Amino acid sequence: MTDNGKYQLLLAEDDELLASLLVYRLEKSGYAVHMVHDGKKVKEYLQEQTPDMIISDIMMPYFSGIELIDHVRNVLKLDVPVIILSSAGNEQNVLSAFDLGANDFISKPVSPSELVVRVERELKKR
Amino acid sequence: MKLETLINQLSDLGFALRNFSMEALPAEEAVKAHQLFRNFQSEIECLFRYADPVESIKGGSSVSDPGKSNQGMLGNAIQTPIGNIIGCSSLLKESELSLEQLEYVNAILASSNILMDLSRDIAGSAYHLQQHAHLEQGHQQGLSERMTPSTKITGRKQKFDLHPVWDDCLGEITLLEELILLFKRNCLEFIGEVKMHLQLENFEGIGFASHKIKNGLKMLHVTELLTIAEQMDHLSSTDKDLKYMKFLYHCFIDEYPLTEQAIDLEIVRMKKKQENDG
Repeated sequence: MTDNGKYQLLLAEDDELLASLLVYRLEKSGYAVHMVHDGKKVKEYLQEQTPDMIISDIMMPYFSGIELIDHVRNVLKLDVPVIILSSAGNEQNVLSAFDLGANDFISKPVSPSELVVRVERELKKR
Repeated sequence: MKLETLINQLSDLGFALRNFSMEALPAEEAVKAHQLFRNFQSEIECLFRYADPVESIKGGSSVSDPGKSNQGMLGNAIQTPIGNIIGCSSLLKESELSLEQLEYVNAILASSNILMDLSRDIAGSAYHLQQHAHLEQGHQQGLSERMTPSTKITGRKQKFDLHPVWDDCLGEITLLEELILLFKRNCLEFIGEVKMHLQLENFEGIGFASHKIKNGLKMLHVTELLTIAEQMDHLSSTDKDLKYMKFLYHCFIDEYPLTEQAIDLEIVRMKKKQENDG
């Protein structure tokens, strides 16, 4: 949670087009969003901060979404909710993500409204 | 030669022929020759004054109906009577004539030959104008046919729909424009990446790039480019046919500018609509 009482979300998505739209909608819905475009930046960010939620693409440069979940759950030992964004045809990866501890997944193209609802739902569970 | 000059020469020729025929021919033949010339003269005057071949060609009637072209009309209406005059004059020339009469006949023949040449020139130029008009028409048709794909830019209707994204942007046109810019950048990056991967025959790279671009294309509902990207993605993991992959790549390159232009036009239209809606 940020100083002004907003939930802090980490959005890891290398497609800037989608990321920009999602950041806009999430911020409009009252969240503080930190956006990164590759796995390396995610790792760097997580060394310094712990967000209230991670929203991550599976296919990213340097460090995939699967590796990210593994890192979060098994290395950093964090219990933050993780929502995976995945394209159709990546079902195997989605299953792997759930096995490693992902909380939810949304199929691409992502509907920003749907994402907002899912974020709210996951945060309410906490 | 100007038309006025031609008409004046025809009148002069008429007077000369009348004088000549009155003096040189029996009354019946003189009246016949005079009548023949009068008919020829009035037809010529009528044709030139009321049916300027160039104007009628430009008017398009002869283009749309080449069978009734001015070329044919000139051939029959002008050249036939001129031919008759030349024929009659030639017959006259062979008869017993005084020197003065022979001079008149030679003058008639010379003038008739000039008229014949002139009518051929006019008919020829009418024919060329007609051909030119046909070519022009064909060229215009060809142009419009060639333009058809671009009206699919505009013309061949590009399949995309910005409204769902606009709704996602909560009606923020500036955000939509920003997304469009990102979309264009992504497409250009994709083109560059695939080109490089094609040179290296790196199908995995092509697959990754195609997979990535698909989401943006789906987001903007850009059907044509999406279909190509999906095929590239599929091909990169199945057949790995380099020749077909290059073909798909070129399809994408050909299609992208059309899509880009169509999207730009749509954005302008949406902005105007938003301005009008207040």
